[in-house]
Amino acid sequence: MRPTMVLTFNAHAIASSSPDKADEQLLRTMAVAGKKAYPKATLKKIVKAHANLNLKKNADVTIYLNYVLFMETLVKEAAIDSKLYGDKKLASRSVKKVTRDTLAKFKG
Amino acid sequence: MTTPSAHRTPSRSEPPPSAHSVHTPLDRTGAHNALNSVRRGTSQQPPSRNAPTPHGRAARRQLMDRRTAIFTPGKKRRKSQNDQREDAMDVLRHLGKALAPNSQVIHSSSSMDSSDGSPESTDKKRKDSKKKPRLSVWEEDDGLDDNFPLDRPRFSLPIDQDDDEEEDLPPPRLSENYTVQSVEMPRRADPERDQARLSMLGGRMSDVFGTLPPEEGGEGQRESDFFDEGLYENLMNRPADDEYNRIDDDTIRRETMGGDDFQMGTPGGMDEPSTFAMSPPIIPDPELTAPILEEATGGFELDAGSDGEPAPFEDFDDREPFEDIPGGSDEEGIPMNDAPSDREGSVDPTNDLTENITAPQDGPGRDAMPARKKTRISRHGVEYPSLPPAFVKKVAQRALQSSGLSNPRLSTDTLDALTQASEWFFEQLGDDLGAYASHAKRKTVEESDVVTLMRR
Repeated sequence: MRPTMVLTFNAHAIASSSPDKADEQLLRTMAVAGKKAYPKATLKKIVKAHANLNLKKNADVTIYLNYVLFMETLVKEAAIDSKLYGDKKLASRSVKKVTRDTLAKFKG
Repeated sequence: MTTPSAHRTPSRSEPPPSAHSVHTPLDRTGAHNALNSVRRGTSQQPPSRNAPTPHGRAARRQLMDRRTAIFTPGKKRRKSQNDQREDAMDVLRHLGKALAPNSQVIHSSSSMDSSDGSPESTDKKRKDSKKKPRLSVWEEDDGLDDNFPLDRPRFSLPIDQDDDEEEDLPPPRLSENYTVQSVEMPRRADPERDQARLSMLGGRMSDVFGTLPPEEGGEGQRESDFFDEGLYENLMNRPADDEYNRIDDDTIRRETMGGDDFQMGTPGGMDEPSTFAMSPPIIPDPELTAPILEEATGGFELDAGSDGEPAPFEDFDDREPFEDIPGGSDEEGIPMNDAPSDREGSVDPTNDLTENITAPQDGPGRDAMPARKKTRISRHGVEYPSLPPAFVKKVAQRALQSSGLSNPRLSTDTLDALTQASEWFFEQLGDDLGAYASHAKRKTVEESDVVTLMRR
């Protein structure tokens, strides 16, 4: 509840201020609200560059979800692999080894 | 002997005088028994009844033995019936016995090594008569082609000849050994290959390790981002960074499919990327020149001030660590840009150095390009920012919490690997999404595309 309150409150401030400032304030409110926004712009740029197409409004959120799923799979597989080697940490070697398969799993 | 019978006869004769009709069965039985025993064998006689005394028993036994001796077929009898009883095996045995003196040939042929020592003259003559035609076949086969499977069946016989003539033994043996080796070879070779792989890995690992000391220095780099004094560490780290750059350059090539696309897309500014891709092999030079340049970079603002030649240098080496970070953060709207700045710092300087050395004319082009952190160029010639490692780290650590590893911390190597993986992931994802959207004849990637991709 409170985060939304803050947001609405800031929305007023945003409306009154210039767009640049509005962005900054939005970011700040997100930080205040404890929501760590994923780097939406970066994500969008990356995907746009690779797809050579524009992204619709909420597509990037889904992409982010997909990325999180990918990351979970990757880390899980890598953890299994590094456990096989007796490592207690996630070994970069196992990550590298697992990357190919996991990428293939997420290929369209 | 007679006494028992005498005894019995009175005992048994007693009833006959009394009743003649009745008495006979006993005597008959005795006579019957005797006859039966003679004809049918021993089984029917109950000795215990007829011979109450041990002497009588012994007499019966002797009788029985005689009878059995009479009726059991002796050797002569067997021989007489031999023709009827003979099997195929017996025939063969007879044949073997008949041929016994000559049969040693087989022994010689069966085992080649022993045959080498023990070929007899008669055997040889036989073999020669038999083999010479076969030998001709053998030689023909040899002349036609080296068919190992064909050679093997003849294997045993001709070998002797070969041994006699010349050492042609090796070919069949070789074939055998060769097949055996071909079976074993992988086993033996596997460890070697593994070692080679390990060495390959080791090479990579060494590359990665090359980044390790820099990783310590990486922190230094981060510090350098904030403090001017970190420059020296940056300079020190650069050679290691060069190695890292090689990897990155490879990835860049992979991602961008070579510099051709660049030139196709935008020839003006893209000439630099081509040199960009070419630069890595020239790396030793930058290393040599690096200290000098770095010394020059000691006065960062000096280079920045002189825009003439070192303009690109200024753009990447100088600005990125310092000025670009805040700029990048503003652009991307990401609060934490420290790590990406490090990456840029590590990647760009070598490229810049090489470019400075190889193509100083790149300066204006570089100026045209936005002085971003680590911009890459996609297959379609579109620049895109690199994935911020902090973001990757955040996502990965969240995933790592549920992985069950005891130590949920991420090392720098691992983070690099994860970042690399996620960059590949986004590249692949972008390609797939683009394919989906273009297949639907759309110009925009929609959520449904992503959902379709995720459902697959």
